[in-house]
Amino acid sequence: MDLSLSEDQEMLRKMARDFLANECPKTLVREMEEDEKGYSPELWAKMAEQGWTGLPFPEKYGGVGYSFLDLAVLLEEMGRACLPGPYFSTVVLAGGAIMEAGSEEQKQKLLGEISEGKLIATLALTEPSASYKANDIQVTAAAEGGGHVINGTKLFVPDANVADVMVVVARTGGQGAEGLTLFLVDPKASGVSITQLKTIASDKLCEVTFDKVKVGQDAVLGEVGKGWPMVETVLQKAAVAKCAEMVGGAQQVLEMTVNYSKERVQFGRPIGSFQAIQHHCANMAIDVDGSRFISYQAAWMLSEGMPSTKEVAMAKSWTSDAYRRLTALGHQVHGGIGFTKDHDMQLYYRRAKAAEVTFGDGDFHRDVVASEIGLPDPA
Amino acid sequence: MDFRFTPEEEAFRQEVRDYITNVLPPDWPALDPIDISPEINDFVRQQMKVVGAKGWLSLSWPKEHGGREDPMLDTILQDELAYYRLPVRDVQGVGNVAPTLIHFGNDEQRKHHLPTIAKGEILWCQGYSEPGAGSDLAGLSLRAVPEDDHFTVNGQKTWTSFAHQADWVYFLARSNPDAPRHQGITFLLADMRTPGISVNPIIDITGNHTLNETFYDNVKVPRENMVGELNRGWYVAVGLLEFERSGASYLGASRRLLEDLVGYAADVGLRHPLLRKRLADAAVELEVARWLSYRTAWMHQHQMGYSLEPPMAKVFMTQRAGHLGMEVLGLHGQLERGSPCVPLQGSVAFLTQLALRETILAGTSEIQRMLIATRGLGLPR
Amino acid sequence: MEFKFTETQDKLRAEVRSFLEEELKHGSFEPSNDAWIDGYSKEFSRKVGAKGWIGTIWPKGYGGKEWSFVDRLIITEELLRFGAPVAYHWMSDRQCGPCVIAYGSDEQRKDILPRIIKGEVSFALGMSEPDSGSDLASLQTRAVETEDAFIINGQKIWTSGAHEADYIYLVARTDPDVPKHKGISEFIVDLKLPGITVKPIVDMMNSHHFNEVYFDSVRVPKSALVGERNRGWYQIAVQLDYERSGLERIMSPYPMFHMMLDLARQEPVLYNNPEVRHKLTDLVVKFEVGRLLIYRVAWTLSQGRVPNFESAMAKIYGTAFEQHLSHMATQVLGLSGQLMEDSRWAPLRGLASRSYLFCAGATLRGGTSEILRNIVALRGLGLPSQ
Repeated sequence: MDLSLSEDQEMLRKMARDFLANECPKTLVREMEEDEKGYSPELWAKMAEQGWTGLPFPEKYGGVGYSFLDLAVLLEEMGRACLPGPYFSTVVLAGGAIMEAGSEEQKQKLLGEISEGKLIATLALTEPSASYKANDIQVTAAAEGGGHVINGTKLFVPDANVADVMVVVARTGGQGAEGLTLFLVDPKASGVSITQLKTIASDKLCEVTFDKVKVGQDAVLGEVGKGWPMVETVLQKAAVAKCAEMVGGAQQVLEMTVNYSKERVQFGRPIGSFQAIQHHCANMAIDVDGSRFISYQAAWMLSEGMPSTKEVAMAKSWTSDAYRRLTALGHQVHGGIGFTKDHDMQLYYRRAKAAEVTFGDGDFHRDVVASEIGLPDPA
Repeated sequence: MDFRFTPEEEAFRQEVRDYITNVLPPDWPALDPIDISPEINDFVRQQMKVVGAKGWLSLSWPKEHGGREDPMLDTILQDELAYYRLPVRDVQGVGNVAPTLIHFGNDEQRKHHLPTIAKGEILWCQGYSEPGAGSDLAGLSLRAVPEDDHFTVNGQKTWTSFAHQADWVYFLARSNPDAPRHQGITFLLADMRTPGISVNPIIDITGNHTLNETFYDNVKVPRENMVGELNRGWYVAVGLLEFERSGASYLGASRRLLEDLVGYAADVGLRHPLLRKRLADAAVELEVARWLSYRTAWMHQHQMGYSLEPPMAKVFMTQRAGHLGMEVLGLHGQLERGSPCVPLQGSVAFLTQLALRETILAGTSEIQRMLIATRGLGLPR
Repeated sequence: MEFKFTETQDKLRAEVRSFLEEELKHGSFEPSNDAWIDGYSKEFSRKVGAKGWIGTIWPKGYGGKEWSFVDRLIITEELLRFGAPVAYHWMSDRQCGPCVIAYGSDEQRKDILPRIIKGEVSFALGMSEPDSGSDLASLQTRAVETEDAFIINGQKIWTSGAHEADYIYLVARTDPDVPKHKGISEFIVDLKLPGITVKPIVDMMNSHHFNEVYFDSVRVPKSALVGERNRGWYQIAVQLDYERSGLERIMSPYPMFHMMLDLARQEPVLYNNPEVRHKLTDLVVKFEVGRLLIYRVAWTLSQGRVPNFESAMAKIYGTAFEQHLSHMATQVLGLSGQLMEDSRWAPLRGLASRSYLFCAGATLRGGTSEILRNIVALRGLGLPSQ
């Protein structure tokens, strides 16, 4: 057993923390919430220079060849800094899908460009049904003249507004998990229209509609009709990657709250000396540590290629709930000041809610856990 | 990072399991088996000596005191013993007295007591709480008047677990009533057979007798039974609070409860989605608690200090695990052992009530949270 | 015991309801969450005033009707249920008017009360300061008495609606040399007076609701003092009980709750989902408990007793319910629960996510739940103070 980070990981963490403290101050975070694009191309270029955009990809595709666990360490720091922009969409979602499903040639080209910071990408999976289940995928891709024609609406597609390429999950036939195919689609292609949604986290989720969008044979990622298992793998990693971000945010909220309760004086004492506040802080500390271990266990197992359906589901169900609880307590300790736009507290509170519902909320994952621990299927 | 146990640790866990499953009688009660019958008590005392002989009661002690310096094995042992409900690792003697003597005792005391604890020969009890000093332990008033070669002790302790079975007691007494309250307390050891000590049972919420009032009437405690310095006993006790809370025994007990409940749900065919969620929720909580517990052992193993860590697992386990069984078994959860139709030998009704008792004993959860806040997070007192 | 309303009360409720339905039909408002504190419409408040539904519990001598507290609660319940824009007169009706009646001068009563009753006066509450939140009695805003006036200097914060209001009900220190509770006085201050600056605070929903209010040598006439000089702290205590005891402490997100239940009745994805059914029924039960806790306060008042711990208890429960409700609503809506107002796909007009943001302050404003628990422990349970 080794519950500590390796020296290299500690170094990555420290570098990431310092880098983000300099390059991603909260002023930028706020600015990007209002910004049309939602990210800073200069910062993106610097991140690519650091090797971050190619971090988890093998060196032969131009990446850095780090493990998923290493990526989790980086994502934790990004969550702590509330890093805005398409890193998650590009590297975890689209990059993950390309790694899983892409041909050698596609990997060479796309992962190489992502690693160089030249390509922003995303995954268009969910639809107005707001579901992560294969059954609910209704966007269709009909075979036509060697290629396909895509029709339908994707919803909650992150960063589609700035993506250079989208991995679109569409139904080429069959039902349920059968007959789903991944396509590489240019967001600027004729028939694609993209509208930004207004979200609680002020992130850039989009509605993407496909109106007779024609794509060629080379747009297929992997095999026709065999896309869903790849999506499932990407979703597993995405859920844990989201947990890592949440752990970073949670740690920061705890630190902010503890510091505030030491400084804020009421009734002639720091409020942190009142038992009610101490209990809030202790409960927060328990949630931070609990989330950290359950999330890192899942990240480690994925990194080691171990079967981890149960552990991933445990991590997301726990961390989603714990992070939300913790940000609510953070507000309670901060009082009015935390409620203002100028204060950082609300940045985390809003993101916690978004993170909770993304890639399956607590109930979604508890259902997986229930089956994994041997409970009979639901009635 | 590596979330695996080493092959040695896995082998040890298996060894413990093999030992227990071999030795455990087939009709072993699915409950905290203390004081159900004299036969069971005798069996537990006898097995204490067996595991003592295996060297399992001194696993985390330093080598110079005959231990193996392996807190991880000790944690695994606690986890498994609790899972199988075989309480042969004396929480007080092995868990508290031994580390206290190792850290704060003198050579004489160590030579006298460590071997009997390691061999499983002696059962200890803890004399802390008093009718007027519960969570606010420093408010205790049991008097120990220092005299030439002994203390004369007068007063009362309460909530003393297993005082009626224990051979020795460690306790806190007020040796200087005029000093500030934390600075007039001395840490003492006494043979329970010393004239003047008497024990009065308290029947707890589960209907069991584990708790007692203990009375001290002109009890002469020899000077050599003082641990640490005169009037410095509070600081010995505070140091001890840290040994007390790794939480592994709560872990094993809860793991067993969950397995039983899942098995029950599968047998009975409980398929309601909400019930599935509740059990899954418990499984997740338990997994989190598991890491909080083993993290403590791991940090201890690597001598990383653990000011923030120990209280967490226990806060966690004592607050939530108890409600689970009731939720799953519903109306059946209220049936006590011996009742017709009782599922899981009545363990749910028992454990639900036990959880409440355990929350209050050994420092309430409020104190745990206060410890986390002040020691762990550095909030002002 | 009798858990029902009188015939007259049922009639009153029906009347309020049909008025609101009529107004809705004419599009005079759109049901909105938090409209008691955020929905400013002078016009709408005048209509409510014209119906005679402001100041109903006040003595007839001051233009009131001497109705019971329960009657008033019925009116406010319907206004909240419909999410009607009643912020303009809410504070005046709820606490400022009653304070003037209890402590004000005849001159103040004659000046203010008839205008409140017509829905023509809006009050903001000038209580919290940057360094005085839960510890309100430590407030520092000074009011120095001169020959013919009080000169006010200092700053208030979290002043809801100060940018919409006509007056601020100000709590200020008139004697710095005595124990903190004993040097505080209350004033009615015209917000148009020179030296007053209202500065917006933008909250996490990006909306302007709170303000900072600065007082720079503001000269107010002596007639602005309410009640006795230096007795302000004791006068406030009563005001706070009114402030905490209304249904707005549990019904702020009610319009969203109502819409969500409707949506669940229509959508098979929702009503066929056992978890959703469980969550919604649980919410309905919890809401009913909170509603009764608040009716208990009104009933206590109508018996002529001061509900000093009952109102604290009701607010603790009600505001925790609001937070739970908002959390559950966003969860029931899943991914769509994160969509804000103005998103095409936002269910319930985005009120669920709005509610989730807004409710973070529910357990803070008007007394934090921590402070209120102390009140329940001390006054309700008779526990000794620390």
